[in-house]
Amino acid sequence: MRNLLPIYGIEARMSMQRQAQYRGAAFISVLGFLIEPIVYLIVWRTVAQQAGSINGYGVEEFTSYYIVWTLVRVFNLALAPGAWDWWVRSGRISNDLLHPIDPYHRNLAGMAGAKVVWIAVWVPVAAFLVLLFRPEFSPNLLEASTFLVAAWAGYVVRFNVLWVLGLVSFWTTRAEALVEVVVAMELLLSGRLVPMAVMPPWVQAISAWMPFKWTFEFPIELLIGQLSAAEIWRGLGMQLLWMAISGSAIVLVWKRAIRKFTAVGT
Amino acid sequence: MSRFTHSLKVTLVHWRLGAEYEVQYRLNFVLQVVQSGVRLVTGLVAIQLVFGFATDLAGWTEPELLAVLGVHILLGGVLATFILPNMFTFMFEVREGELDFALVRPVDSQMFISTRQLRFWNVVDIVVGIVVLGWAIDGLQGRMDTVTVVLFAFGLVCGALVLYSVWMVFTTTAFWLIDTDDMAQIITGLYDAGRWPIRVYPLWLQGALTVVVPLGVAITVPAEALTDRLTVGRLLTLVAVTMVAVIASRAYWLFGVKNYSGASA
Repeated sequence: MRNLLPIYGIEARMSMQRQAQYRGAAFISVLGFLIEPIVYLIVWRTVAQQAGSINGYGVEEFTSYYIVWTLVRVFNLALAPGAWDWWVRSGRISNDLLHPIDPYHRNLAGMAGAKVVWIAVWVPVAAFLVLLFRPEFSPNLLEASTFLVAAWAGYVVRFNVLWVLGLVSFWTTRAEALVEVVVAMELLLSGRLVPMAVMPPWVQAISAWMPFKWTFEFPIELLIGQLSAAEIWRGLGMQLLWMAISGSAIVLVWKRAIRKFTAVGT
Repeated sequence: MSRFTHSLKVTLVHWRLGAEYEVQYRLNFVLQVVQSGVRLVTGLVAIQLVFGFATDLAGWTEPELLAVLGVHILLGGVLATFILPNMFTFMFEVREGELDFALVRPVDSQMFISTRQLRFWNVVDIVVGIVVLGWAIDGLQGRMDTVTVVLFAFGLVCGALVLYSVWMVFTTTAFWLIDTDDMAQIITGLYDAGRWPIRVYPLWLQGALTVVVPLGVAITVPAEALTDRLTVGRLLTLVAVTMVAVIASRAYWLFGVKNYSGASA
């Protein structure tokens, strides 16, 4: 087993520098991501004004939730499974296979490095949102640092899940429909559309046993102070569990996928 | 034969060829049904959740919001079937230096690059949109008369023209900016904001969705016609926005083509 740590460092730094060259593009893409939560935020503020507090979520909580949402979204951005379709079909994956480091590590590190730049361009946008909607929450240092751990862990879990999904492209070139189903499940069960508190109890129960919630809602609720200490420990445990499950799935599927692949192109 | 009818004929031939090409791939139809179904379900869930806690959203009741969702899906289907495939081909060609082959053809260049392709199976979304609209109309209970239907159809046509023009302006920008994927994300996001009536939004956002990127009015106004909300002022706003969008996108395109120096040199 080679020591991967320096390799992670180099890949992350390279990718960070690459992104930093295209600051404008990074800013525009972060802006593009923000329309979605602003829409949810306005809709649910309007509902909460009428309905009052919904299972602990009133106007203020919804506001904080969707503003932290934007940061968690930047953290949990991972490789879109659609990219695999092209890599495999065009034969481009051959290049990556010749490389001595597994493409998984290079991509995981690379996207992590790029996030540093994205988070930097996120700051002014977030400042604008805070001025506009004036959320009220004040995490202490411990909560803030636990949030960082949970947000990075959420990234790894989401990266892994999408990676496994991407590997399906080795068997079929028509994986989009499957991807669409998983993306919809994520939208509904992760807290991306609404906090789970708004969902009926049976949906909450399903969501707790799926990986999605631990990449989206868990870090958000941690930072806005909706979780007890016990819930935080449980969440971190679930993240570890899903890292292990998704990691084993990758090892298992990757071996078979790579045998399936006959190089295309040059 | 005038230049316009000639271009129109070329367009119809392209659409027919596009449809015939795609009909060969019947599995794609099944996959498209799955994708459209999934998106319909998430749209319905969002509305259901809201009405689990509220009786109206900024004055819009549940069947009325269903009408907005129907228009959103229907126009989204028009976008995906007729407009988007052409826009992405164009951007690809500018990047790869292949656009010259399109520009030298003896037809109107804007018409040609806008109508070359057709992603036929996306008509599933158009059908789903119509079904949702039927469902909404059923829930609205007999507020339909000829005037309503005519205004609604007129609103839809204007909406589709606005959608096309907004994408056309954005696409033309590819002459100068090569990497436009990030901007496409913003336009798509703004289109999705149209899933809710724009009256829900604060004034600054309503203004942006009416004047700057008029995707909001394109979806909301037809739905207003259907739900007895349409005022003369709103109708005129849509007509004015449509005219400005069509003329501006045309002028911008001609300006872009004139200044484009080709990539083959």
